Amino acid sequence: MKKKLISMFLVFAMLCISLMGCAKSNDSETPTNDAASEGTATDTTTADADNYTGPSGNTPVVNGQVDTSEFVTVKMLVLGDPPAGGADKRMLEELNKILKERVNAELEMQWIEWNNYATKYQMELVSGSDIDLIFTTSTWLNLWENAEKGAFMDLTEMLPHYAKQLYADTTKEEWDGCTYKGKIVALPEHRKWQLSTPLFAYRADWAKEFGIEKIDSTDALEQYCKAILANKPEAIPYNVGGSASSNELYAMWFRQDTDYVLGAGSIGMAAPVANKSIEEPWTSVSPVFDDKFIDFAVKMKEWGDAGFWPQDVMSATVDTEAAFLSGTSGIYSMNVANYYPLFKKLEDENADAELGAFFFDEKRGFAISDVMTQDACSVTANAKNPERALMIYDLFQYDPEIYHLTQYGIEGEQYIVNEAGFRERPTDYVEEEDAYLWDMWSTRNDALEIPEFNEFQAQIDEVNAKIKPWTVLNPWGSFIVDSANWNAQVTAINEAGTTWLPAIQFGKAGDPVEAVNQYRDALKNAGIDEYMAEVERQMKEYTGN
Amino acid sequence: MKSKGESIAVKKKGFNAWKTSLRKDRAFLIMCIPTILYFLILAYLPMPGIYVAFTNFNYDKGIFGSAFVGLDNLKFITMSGKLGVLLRNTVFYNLAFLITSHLIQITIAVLLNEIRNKKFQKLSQSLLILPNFISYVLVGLFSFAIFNSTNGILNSILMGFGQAGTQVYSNPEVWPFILVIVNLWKGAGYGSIVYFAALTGMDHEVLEAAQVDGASTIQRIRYITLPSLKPTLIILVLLSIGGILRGNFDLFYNMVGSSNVLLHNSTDVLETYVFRAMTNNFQFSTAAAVSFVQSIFGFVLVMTTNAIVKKVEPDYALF
Repeated sequence: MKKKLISMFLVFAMLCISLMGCAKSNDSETPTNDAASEGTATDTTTADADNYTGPSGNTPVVNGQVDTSEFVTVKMLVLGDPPAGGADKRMLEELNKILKERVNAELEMQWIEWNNYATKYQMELVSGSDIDLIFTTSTWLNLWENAEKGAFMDLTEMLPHYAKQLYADTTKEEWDGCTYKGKIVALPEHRKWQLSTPLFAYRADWAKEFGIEKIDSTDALEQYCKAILANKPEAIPYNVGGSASSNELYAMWFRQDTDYVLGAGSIGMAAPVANKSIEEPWTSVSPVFDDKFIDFAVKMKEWGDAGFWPQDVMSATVDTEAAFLSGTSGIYSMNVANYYPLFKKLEDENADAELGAFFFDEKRGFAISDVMTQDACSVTANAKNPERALMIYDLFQYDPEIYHLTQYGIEGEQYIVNEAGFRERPTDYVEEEDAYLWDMWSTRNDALEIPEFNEFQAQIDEVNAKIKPWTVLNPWGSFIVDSANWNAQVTAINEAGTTWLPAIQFGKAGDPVEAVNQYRDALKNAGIDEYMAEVERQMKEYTGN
Repeated sequence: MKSKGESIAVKKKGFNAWKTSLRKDRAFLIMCIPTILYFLILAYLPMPGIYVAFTNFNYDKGIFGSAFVGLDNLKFITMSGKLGVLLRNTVFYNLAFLITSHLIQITIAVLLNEIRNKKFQKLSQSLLILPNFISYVLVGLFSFAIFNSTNGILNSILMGFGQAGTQVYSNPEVWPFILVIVNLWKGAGYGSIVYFAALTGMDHEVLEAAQVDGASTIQRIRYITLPSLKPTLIILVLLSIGGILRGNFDLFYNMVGSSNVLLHNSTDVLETYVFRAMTNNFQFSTAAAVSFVQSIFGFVLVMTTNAIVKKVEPDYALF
């Protein structure tokens, strides 16, 4: 009898626990949500310059003074593989000593490793995470889509109180680039100059050998590839494997042969929707329906048949960087950021090799600068300590002591400053032990940088001197297409693009003219015309004419 | 026996009957707890979340607060006009996998069972199971090494015999065969374990009696071994038929890639299509909607097949 009771009780208890576990997590989500939204609602009414409560209420501003008497722990999440030697943890210890003193808080850092990062990142948000500072980007982590879905907190009210230096140092246009539907939802990467411009790296020593002075056009590239086929039997001109995201030849084509630019309204890697030109950025067009696109497809078929890339490129898997460094690939597609370290890599592998770059943007002489949110930081909607998080973020970007500590690690352990004022690795630096990374990239600030000693600095400066004048401001500012009611079309257009563009650009879609027609039909079926009309409608609404 | 007792008890009178059966079968019920909990927590509790398939999902509002959009999340498939090809490929590949793999699995099990040398039997079994542990990524690389037209093994051999090389990666006709063979190579050995286990449990006296009566090996297999595998076969087919609308994404993606348009007519399945549509474009609701349709379809199929089996051979039905 007793046994029976015990067993029944156990069954019941276990059921209760399992049900409770779920109920609990639901409970804890709802009230914080409410608190956050209520908080911001009331703040708008009570906020004045000197007094402000803040969404969490644990860091109020009283008579212009921020009250940090309550000790809090700020959670931060970044993307990347944490350094194996644990240098980030040692840095964090040092940092927390300073933070305790300055803002009475400590920082807790989480990493999302690169392997399958996109899914893990989205899961973190979907699960109602209470991370305070979270890395985000509008170019590869769907900042705007997540903002549309309510994942991030509105920072507009808080910024002037808690991120004073950042707020003062950021122009209205720059804030506009971080604003979604009237709410500032991200902190910009705006004090680090960088330009993202695509290129083919090539072997300048080979080009010279073939009598080509430099590659600066599609024709020169063709000549170079043909010469490789004729003279370098061990190499494939462009040794690469195709994937659903292959688009480099398309990117080359429209920068070399058309006026189209990519920006607001663009869909996926295949980018079948573009904008007319830098002068007319508010006109939505599709390069695929341009007659020149057929010429491009025909040319690429010619290149593919000639063996510029592997015959079975669409099903091949190739490490193009390794192939390029070892001399089995003549070109390597990349963005300029990956080009800088290539000098060193190529020298390590092959000291006689010489590096060259074919910048697609050189012909037109401009490159649209990164959006403010290329790398950015947001505060999640469920954050517990958004105020202190902003205060800490402000220090990350503007306090020299904390800047050097977070960006470079501990002085003497990760880096030393030599007599010439350059940053160098200490002599007892061991990669496995001391390697250090700071992956909250948006806090980078050129004004506080200590330049690193680099034996290829001259070459890098040369590249920068060349591309810096190309910078033009992103003409769309903070405009983004609201595609909430266009999910089906966007998904279908993206599918048409990932199906056809990679195959067409590698000339592996059968007859090129026929393939382009099929691609166009697929886009039409997917609703590209309606979608572009909608994009233009929203653009008109935004520009007000 | 037990189930009979239970059903009578239930007929008796509501709650009291429950109490009786709880007391009588408590040992069994306690043993069931882990399984019940497992399904409760991991299968039934999350089930309402399927609602996400019908919404325009918003983090802030959560699954049940998001706007209801009905079947709009499936619209993108019909817009492409490819639905017919996708369904045809998915269903036919799965049927081909189902039929060939069970045939080969049974053959392997029967042959293994006939091997008298224990050591050789163990060795062959291990060798047959091995491919199951090789990831599809590697299998994809193997097949590329064999079939690629520039320096693949197949073409090297062909050219060695003075023949012209072939372009396997742009020839859609050969892929159904390649994919079925690879699927067999990888899965058949492992799948045969269940059949082999069923054979090991068989009453060997029957076989010996048949041998004494003068039955040949072929006759013994035909009239004794194979019929004894029938229940196992039916159960396994019933279990795998539910996944008939699910493509084997690993296999297709690694062997063919997702954007090899030339092969799409014979290799594009629902999964690879959804993969392309979702690349750089995260739409939980859409993905959930596709998965939901696949599940519903599988559920209906399993129920129907089971009903048919029940009619024909009541003893072999799953439930």
